[in-house]
Amino acid sequence: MTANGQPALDRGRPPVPGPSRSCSFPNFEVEKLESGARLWTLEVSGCGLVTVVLLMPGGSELDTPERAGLASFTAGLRGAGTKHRDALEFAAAAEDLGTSISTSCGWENAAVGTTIGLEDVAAGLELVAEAAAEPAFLDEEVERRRRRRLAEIERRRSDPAAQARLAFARAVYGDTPYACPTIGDRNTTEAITREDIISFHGRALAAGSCHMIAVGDLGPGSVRRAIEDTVEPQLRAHGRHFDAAAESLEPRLASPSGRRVVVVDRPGAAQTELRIGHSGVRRRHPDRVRLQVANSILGGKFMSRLNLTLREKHGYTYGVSSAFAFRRGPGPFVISTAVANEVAGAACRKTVEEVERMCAEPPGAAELDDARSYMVGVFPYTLQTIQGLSSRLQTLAVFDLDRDEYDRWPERVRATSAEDVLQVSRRHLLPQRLTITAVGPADELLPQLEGLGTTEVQAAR
Amino acid sequence: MPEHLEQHELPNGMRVVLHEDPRLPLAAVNVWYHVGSKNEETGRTGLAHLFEHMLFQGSANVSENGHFEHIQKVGGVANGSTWYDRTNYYETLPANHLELGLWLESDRMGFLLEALTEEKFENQRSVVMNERLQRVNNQPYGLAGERLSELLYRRPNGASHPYAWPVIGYMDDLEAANLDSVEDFFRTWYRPNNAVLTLAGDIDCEAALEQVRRYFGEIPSGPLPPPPAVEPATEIGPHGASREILEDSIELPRCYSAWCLDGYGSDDWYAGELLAMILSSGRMSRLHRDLVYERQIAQSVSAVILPTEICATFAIIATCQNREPDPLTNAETLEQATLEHVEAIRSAGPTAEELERARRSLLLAHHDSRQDLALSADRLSCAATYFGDPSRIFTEPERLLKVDAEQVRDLARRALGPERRAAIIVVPEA
Repeated sequence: MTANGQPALDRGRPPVPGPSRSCSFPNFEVEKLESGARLWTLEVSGCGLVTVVLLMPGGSELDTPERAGLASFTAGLRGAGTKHRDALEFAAAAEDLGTSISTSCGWENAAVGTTIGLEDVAAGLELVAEAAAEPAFLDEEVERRRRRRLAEIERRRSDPAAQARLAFARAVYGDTPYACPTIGDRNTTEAITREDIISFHGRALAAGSCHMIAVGDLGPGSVRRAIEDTVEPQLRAHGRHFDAAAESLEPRLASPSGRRVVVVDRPGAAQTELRIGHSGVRRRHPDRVRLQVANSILGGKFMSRLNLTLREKHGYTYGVSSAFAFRRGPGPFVISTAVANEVAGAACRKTVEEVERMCAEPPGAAELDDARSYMVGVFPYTLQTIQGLSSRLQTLAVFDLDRDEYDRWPERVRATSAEDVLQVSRRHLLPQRLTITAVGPADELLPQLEGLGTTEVQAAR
Repeated sequence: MPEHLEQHELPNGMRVVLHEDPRLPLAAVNVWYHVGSKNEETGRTGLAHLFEHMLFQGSANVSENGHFEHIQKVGGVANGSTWYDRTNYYETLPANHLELGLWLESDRMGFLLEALTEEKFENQRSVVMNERLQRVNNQPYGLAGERLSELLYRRPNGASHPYAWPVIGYMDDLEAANLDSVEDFFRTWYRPNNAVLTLAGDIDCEAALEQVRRYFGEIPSGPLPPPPAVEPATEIGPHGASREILEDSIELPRCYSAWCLDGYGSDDWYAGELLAMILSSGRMSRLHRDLVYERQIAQSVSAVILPTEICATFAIIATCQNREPDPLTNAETLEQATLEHVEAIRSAGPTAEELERARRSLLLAHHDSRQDLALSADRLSCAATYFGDPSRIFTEPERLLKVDAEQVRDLARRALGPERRAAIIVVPEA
């Protein structure tokens, strides 16, 4: 003991932690509005802000091969002029409040939303409702947007990471919706007509399938009333359920067995972008949490096997990570990295080895323990912002999950055993069916990738 | 939001900022060392950043992968970053593991050198060279920003101002770096009297300060090199021919213009921040509305001012929507169009309406950014490092709200003239 009563400092071992304070997902309410839409509210008092999102049907999973990009094209135009204001007047109305109205489109849903100061909530909601329910889709705006989308597609041709994502999705998903990026391609972007957009929007505007999610300084009933006054009248005019379902989201594999190597040739490129994986599992799959634990060990955190091997041991890369994209259908499982050209083959082989090892033996006790504590421990970190909380609620709404999903999640993680990790890895990681996509100089890459799988070389698109 | 903020200085010169914010059971630990790439010299660029990597490779009592291992196993997140003027290291931990953060940060501040090895150095040099390939060499337009800074920060005698070289360093310098230079860098700059430690979140200030004293109090202070001399921005650059055309593996031509302003914290800097917003933030901003929306010659536009200490780069970056019929003509047309907007501000200043929009947007963004604990801790360290006053983060919006139209016009007149501009045009490779 030192003079002040503190034990002498022992730097040789990490300090003993104090008692932990538990943290659970905050309470929230869900109710059905008269229009049929669901209203989700979560109070975070004192932050002075409210974030609202109107989730509506019309995600990119509905895109057809001939009209790939239609969902996000439509979504983007919702903020570009309404029946009451042209595009500039609409933008000015939001910017006068210090904010903007965001329109977005994911695989499952489209969304219109904003984050706004407490005193301006009603005005912000009015703009959200107007964009969602009364977009004008003026010809001029459609063409303006089309030109920007074509330029963005053009830009991606020389973006190696974008090329890698594109080639990977196409190789894994064939002609199903997940094969094409949500923006579509040049041909489909040129083919989409204003009538396509109006008709797609008309179908998507179905209040019975909408969710209004409000998080922040809601106050007792005041935001609820503002929603009744602004969004509800708009939605009540469209009080039906969304009628269409996506085509099958299951991938149709062109070559169901064996590994494939796809090289996208960028002569003279300074580095090689790699995407390695296959199609994964849907969000509601019962193995999901156990698979997240397995992925955390493989490539889901800095101390993962892949990052320790490729970065910390061999210095092949600045970083590598793996992830399952959990969508309504089986989204991709993909390992992403960028490596020096001369080690691309070695990096691919080490990666395949690590995937094989997941399927060959269970993780060690300490490794598993670290992964589980990491996953449970970082949970509060994701609850700091009203946007973070809103995104958690959006996930519940989009995938129709139980409302105690987040309360049960820590116990599900903790209950995952080493044997569980091995079993789910064997079921869902397929080292023999990996698609290896490499964007870089083909003349340097091909000799290194020989023997890894059937190989094809493509030009950048 | 509950506010309780304290600042202390330990006898060894380390400053400690404590901010209680008990919304969630989290504690943010954030250390700023007042050293960055501007403290390097030509021929040895990239050292500050390479060194940041070495700080994650273990210290006397922490094994090679121990830093991330200890943090991740308790559910914490950690990282570091290097900037022109400073290097930061930070972790957000479950609040009951605060002491773990202090143990790790004090071990690498006080006891790093004995754990450095040639092997770790070679590994991280390779990681950083890959980082450079990924962020710069293999990135569309990746080299343009570097060249722009070289032109802007070239002195009349041809020498480089310390903001002329990239934070990540040049590849040749990374190749030439060695373990000795890394050790020298540590001995020179990684002293408690050159550091600010901020703890924020669900903490007890009194107990936390006591722990800080235990872990950091015994680390000796040391002599620091004098800070670089501050010169008026007008003296710095550019000098000589300062517009170049680059070819790159890109599809859409792009133009960059940059000027040198007074550094972060000056009245001019805040006027510059407001001007950047008026030019390019939101669809109603001048450049966006005219070039992207109405004339449709730009795919994207952005005006930015960097928060650097001894002077600041104000830049306008505009990307063409088309490469046809001629990429260079398109880029030069777009460049001229951006400059006409700068001239309009120089002659008439912004309108009251524009100023009001920018102010409202800034206030909202300020509220929004305060939700994130790690970000708040970082800004506290920033204010303590540059201004000696962490509470300045709460009054930052007032400084911006004070800026009036005349100040913006005056700044543009003095600082954004054609003779003070450096420019880069990027066109697709032939």
